[in-house]
Amino acid sequence: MKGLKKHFAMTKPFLNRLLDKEEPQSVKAVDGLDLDIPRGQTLSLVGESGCGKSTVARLIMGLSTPSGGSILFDGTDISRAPAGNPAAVRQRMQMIFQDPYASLNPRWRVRDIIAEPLRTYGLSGSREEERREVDRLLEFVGLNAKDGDKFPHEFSGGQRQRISIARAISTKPEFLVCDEPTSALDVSVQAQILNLMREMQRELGLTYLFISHDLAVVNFMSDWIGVMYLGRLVEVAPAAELFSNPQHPYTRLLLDTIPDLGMSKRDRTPAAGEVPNPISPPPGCHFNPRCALANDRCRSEAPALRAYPNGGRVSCHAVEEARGAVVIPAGVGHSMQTAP
Amino acid sequence: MRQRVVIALALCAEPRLIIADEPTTALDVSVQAQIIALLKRVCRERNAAVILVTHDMGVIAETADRVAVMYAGRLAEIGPVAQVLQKPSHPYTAGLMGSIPRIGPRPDRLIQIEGSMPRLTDIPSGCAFNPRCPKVFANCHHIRPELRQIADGAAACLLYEGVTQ
Ligand SMILES: Nc1ncnc2c1ncn2[C@@H]1O[C@H](COP(=O)(O)OP(=O)(O)OP(=O)(O)O)[C@@H](O)[C@H]1O
Ligand code: SF4
Ligand code: SF4
Ligand SMILES: [Mg+2]
Repeated sequence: MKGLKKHFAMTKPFLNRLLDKEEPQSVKAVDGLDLDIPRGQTLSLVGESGCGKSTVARLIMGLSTPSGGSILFDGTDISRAPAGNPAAVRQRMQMIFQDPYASLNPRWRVRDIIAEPLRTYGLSGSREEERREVDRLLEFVGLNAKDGDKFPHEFSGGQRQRISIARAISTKPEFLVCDEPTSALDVSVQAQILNLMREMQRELGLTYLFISHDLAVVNFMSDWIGVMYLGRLVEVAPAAELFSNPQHPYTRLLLDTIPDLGMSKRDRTPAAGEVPNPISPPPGCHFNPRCALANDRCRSEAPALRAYPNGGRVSCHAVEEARGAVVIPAGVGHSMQTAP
Repeated sequence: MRQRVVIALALCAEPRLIIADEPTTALDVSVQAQIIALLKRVCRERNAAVILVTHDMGVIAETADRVAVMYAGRLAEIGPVAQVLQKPSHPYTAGLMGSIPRIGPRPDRLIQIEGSMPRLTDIPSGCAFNPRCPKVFANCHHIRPELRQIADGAAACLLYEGVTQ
């Protein structure tokens, strides 16, 4: 993804439009995203509700047209191509959605749901071949071949998510976009689905864009993590590095708010501040009203995403200036020394 | 912030008991932390009791005093949070705790409880957890375990009944 943007025009209520003659407003849901996902690896996007994660997923899948920037899939620019086109590229990418209740057509038999992408792309061959392939997919995701004749309502949430996964991998895609695939499931079912996804990655060599707001889940799934805040990427780093050595003040806040099973945080005071309104984000760095390190530069100039020697990229003036508590430790990068 | 409104409403009537059903599900961590803090403050300042219904163990660890784990319509285990979460007695609780992804070194696999929760119309005889239990033994198929006291809590599992295994 290069400079990827999606702005939604806001239609104001009629009376307001009569009364004030302001410029039309827009929500910058995704505001200039630069991101690479290496083949065979998992990159996760994390960030608070409304920061634009699902919008990125929809842009990649062609379910929404970008307002700017480009999306390259294995060298082909697909940013203006609608969903399903060009077929040769689109059949190599599929999506798994959060809600296993809403994303399956309730009137179709599971067999038809799973076979649909095969039919769409003309890959299904004879009736008999298709039947065998659907049986194989059902068993691959841990269901029974005879489940194909049932309807979605006959399954639990976890089983429905397995059906969505079978459907998503039916065209033998190389790339899966997974938007909160386990958020609606309880922990025991979540473990089964996450294990299945990791196994599929090992066996089929899949590449994942994984979206979640659960950082422990992201830790289990990811090679790379991108942190988004109000439509912008604030930090991207190898997963282990992001957890052990977070740089951006917002990344630190996110890590700090993870509930701790060891019960060590029972008496903490939660980070104050609310996510600002995406229609009128603060000027400069969007995070400045919540940031302890904010200064005048932060309030006027938006920080650019810069590469650091630890393999990550961060957009923060304080990190760039090595000021305050935000420091890349010596030994990783010699140019970055601890500030006094 | 809809949740805050709901909590505020609950407070108008000076309640003695607040039942919070999945109050933080679908919220991201920073907002979730604020809601938890609010619930705890209410609980302390107004001396109200809270029943928190959730499948988020992190929220339980940070909020609750006691926790009750349910399986197929019955209590599997109950006790102080520290005991249940850190030294679970019931194999189902142990499986749940093991299946939670953690921050830290990345394992290749999460511990998983095989199978799925039985339909409530089709609960196995004996211990309802027996088809999925890694510690299952003969009696589990025909004796339904009752809650037995263990330290400051209790668990419904035949391992603690002194029945010959
Ligand atoms: N079709 C639309 N029209 C107008 N605004 C939209 C539209 N879709 C999304 N938005 C806005 O764009 C922003 C980003 O939304 P998006 O769904 O991508 O967030 P998200 O990070 O996936 O959030 P969540 O964690 O809640 O799923 C939000 O402010 C949202 O209100
Ligand atoms: S740029 Fe400034 S306001 Fe933004 S995160 Fe960095 S220090 Fe804070
Ligand atoms: S009673 Fe038996 S099956 Fe049930 S939890 Fe205990 S050991 Fe497992
Ligand atoms: Mg979303």
